[in-house]
Amino acid sequence: MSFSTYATIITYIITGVGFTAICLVEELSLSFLAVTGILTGLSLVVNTVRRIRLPRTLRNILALAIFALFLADYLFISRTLIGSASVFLTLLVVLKLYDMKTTRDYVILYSLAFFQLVAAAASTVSPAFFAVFSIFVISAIWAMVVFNIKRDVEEWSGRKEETIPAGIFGPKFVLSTLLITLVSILITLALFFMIPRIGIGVFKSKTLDTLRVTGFSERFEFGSIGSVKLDPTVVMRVHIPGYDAPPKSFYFRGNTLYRYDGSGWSREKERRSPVERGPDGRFVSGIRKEDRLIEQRIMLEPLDTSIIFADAPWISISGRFSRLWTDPSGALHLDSPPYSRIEYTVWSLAEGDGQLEVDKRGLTPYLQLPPETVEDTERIKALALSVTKGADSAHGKAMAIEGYLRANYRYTLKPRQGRGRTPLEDFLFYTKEGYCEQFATSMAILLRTIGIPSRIVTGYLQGEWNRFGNYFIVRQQDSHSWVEAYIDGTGWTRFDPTPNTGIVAPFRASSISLYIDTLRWKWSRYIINYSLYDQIRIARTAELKSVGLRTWLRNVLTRGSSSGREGGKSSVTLTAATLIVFIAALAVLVILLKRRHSNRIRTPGFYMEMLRILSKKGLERKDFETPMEFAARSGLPEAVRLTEVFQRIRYGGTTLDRSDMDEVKRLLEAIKKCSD
Amino acid sequence: MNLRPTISAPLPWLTFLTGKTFGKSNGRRRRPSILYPLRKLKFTKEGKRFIAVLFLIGLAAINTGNNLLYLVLAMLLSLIIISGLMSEPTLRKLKTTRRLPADIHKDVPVPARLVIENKKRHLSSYSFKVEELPIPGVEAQPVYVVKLDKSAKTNRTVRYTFRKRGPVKLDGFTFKTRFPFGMFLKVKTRRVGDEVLVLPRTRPLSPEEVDECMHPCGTSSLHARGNGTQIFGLRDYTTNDDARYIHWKASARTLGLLRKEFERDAASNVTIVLDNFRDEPLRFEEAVEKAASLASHYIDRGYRVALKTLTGEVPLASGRSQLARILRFLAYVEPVDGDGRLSVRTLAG
Repeated sequence: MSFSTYATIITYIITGVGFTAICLVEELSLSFLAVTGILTGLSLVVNTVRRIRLPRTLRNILALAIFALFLADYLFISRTLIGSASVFLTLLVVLKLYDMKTTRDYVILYSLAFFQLVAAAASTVSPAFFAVFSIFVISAIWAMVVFNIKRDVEEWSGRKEETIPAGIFGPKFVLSTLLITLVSILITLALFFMIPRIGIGVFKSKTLDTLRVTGFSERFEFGSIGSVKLDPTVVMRVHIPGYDAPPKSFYFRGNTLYRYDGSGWSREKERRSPVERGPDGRFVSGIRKEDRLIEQRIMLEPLDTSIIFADAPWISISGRFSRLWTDPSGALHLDSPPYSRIEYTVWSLAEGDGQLEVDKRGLTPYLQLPPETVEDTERIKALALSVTKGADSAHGKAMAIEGYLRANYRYTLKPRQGRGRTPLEDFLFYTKEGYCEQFATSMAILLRTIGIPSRIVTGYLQGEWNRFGNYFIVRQQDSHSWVEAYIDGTGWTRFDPTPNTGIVAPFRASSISLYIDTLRWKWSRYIINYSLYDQIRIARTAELKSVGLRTWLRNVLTRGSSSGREGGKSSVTLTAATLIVFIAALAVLVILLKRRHSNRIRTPGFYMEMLRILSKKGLERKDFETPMEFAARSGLPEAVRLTEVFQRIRYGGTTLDRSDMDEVKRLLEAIKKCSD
Repeated sequence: MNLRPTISAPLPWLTFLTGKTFGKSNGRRRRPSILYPLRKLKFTKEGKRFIAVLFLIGLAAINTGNNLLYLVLAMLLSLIIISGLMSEPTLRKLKTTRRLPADIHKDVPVPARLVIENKKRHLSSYSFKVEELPIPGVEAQPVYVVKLDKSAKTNRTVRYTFRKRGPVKLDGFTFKTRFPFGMFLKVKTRRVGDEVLVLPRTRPLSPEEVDECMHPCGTSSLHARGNGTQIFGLRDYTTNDDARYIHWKASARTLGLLRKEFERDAASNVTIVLDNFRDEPLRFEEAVEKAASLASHYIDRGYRVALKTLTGEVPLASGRSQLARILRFLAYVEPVDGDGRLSVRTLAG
């Protein structure tokens, strides 16, 4: 295979990788990618069948036009730097493909492909990037080695590239390249995790499309949750460290609404107050419980709400956000909706049955009834009273209503239209079927009619447990609404009147999908969202391990010593041992280095010894003298003989045998005697 | 707290270490060998550009906090590490020896044979250049090797040109490589000492140049047989004699073939006198070269030639070995301070 064929193959692999990388940039349109893809394919025909090179003037005009297009696109059309730069780079690559002749052209093309990869890195979070990245590393290493050898051949031997021996780039070379790439990727990952994350994020750009969610604003209409109950889009992933199976049922609480107007729920825009931080930097709720806590590491997709979700009652939260806000109903808010994936950790009570301590003041809004006719209200109240007959406490009454709804009403995503005048009446007295909103609304109103304060909570159920990664995949279809009732003595308590059929989501992923999702989750968790906090955590773990090692070492070293010895004594021993090991290692290193250096001048020691003896006698070897001339000048036949042996050893490539060594000893003795 | 063991324990080690590192070696005292750099590394033009891109990506990663940019940054850093790791075995365990011809003349290119051997048992060496360590007055052609398999050797004939007369010590070789990515030039030096004697150059002389050196006392003949022009006598012709030397007139008189014998010309003994007084270096070298050329000229023509200088002489003799002796002597000739003038003369007889 000729070198130019080889170069063409590498070039099109790298171009292909660059093109694939640029496909990951979300701002680029499909039509643009299709056109540039076709032009790239055509260039392959041009470069292999007929080598046509565009005239220089035309090339320059086209390059200028592309640059003008980039400026216009960036300043007036798309106004996104990454998108405009990606278009610019891709067009330049296509232009360069029709202008490949010199090594410089190839290098420019590879550089453009590299910057395409950088553009993709700046605008995507897809795990596909890693595959593209790996192939780019392989092909870039391959290209760099090949073109470096080509340049060396041309510059250092003055030959043309065609004279490169074919055997150089054989299968062995390709295998070696793959091996080098593997090592390179391992080193890359090691460095990736070690480079300090001092990112200040000044020019941080949006990397994901925001997901539209419902139920988390000041108002939501009936049916808004029902519309997403078939949407399998992932909203968040929740990892529960230390558990191979779901430890309990989670309700990821989001928003609370308390004002019902017959067609939906709403709340006042209330003043938010900042959540305080504890001594360890975590945000704390103020609930003081000594119970067991469950940790939830939540990776939340960018949503169009500032609300973040947590299983209630939460005790503390940590995350990469500077502030966290809460409203009187306990909903948690960020400063603004996140524009990329965020990760935070929640510690909530493992058992607590949804208790949430909230100040009892201002419960009146939670007793508000729908603006319906008195007759309707009385009918609802009568139902509530009949259901709660026999229950003597507020909690018991709530439980009775929850049980009644679960047992007598049917869950469906397509409820029929009944004869009722309002959706609530329709559900409670006629159709008796609906989805979570109807169930929750009915329970809240039934509770209010009998004087128990209640409110609606929107959030997410735990979703699907991914056994490969031990985390929950929470999708849009897992959005849910339930009820919180205020129970004297315990506070706000969660009740879910929706039957179990409504809690089980319709979409269940296959094993392969779950496995792929695990990879995606790990990619997001350990690559995309890897942060300084992770590095600090790793460092702390390492520190703890090292403390353990030191303790173990100390125990080993002090074993056998009397118990009466002071702690300081063992510390001195440990220091001394460490110092000795260090010095020994240093000594070995120095000896090895010296041995390497000593190979550089291989003058046999016996000749140096002779020079030393003669030097003492005042006979120095001049710089211009050959060894034999010097020996002749010394006038000592022993010196001449020894020089002959030296030359045989030094230049003849032989070694001293037994008889030689004896002779050398004898000659040195003789020279010494002569010099005396 | 008793710190005595802590302090005293490493002392023998430290003493040993200091001794090994800075101790006096056999023979000449030299710089501690540990202080010699193992190899030199410098950025190529491409390497500098690579580093500039690396900084740019680093800056972008810090500014955006984008982890994928950190990944690209880590990849660029890993390529630097890989470059260092891969270039190292290329230069390791390479051995080079040179074989130069016996007669080396100043300014005359001579072919030399370089044997480059890869002593590694498992790894090949790729794309490296072998160069003679720079010595003033020595020009040696470099050798480029694309690939040298494990435990293999290659023979290359290269041209050496010595621009200085006298003994020259060749120190060793530098091995250079930009393998694998061309970002760095790694240079490793290997000492392979050789000493050569560079003889003065000889050149063909024109009759005018030969004559202008001839001393005015002229030529004289000695009464002895030789290769002169005057007839010394006659003797019987033998079948081994050249027919051109038959004396036809005398042969006619004696009815037997007689051949002429010639007197020895006194000028067949030539002494070249080099008054090696100090002068401009170029003129001095020209004078030495002229003396060498004269010696070559006369010896080629069968003369017995001697050389006299202010610092020594080579006695009269003829043949190639005499030329070698004279050239070798001239190779060492140095200028002498004095009132005289630098000159080259030939004296016949």
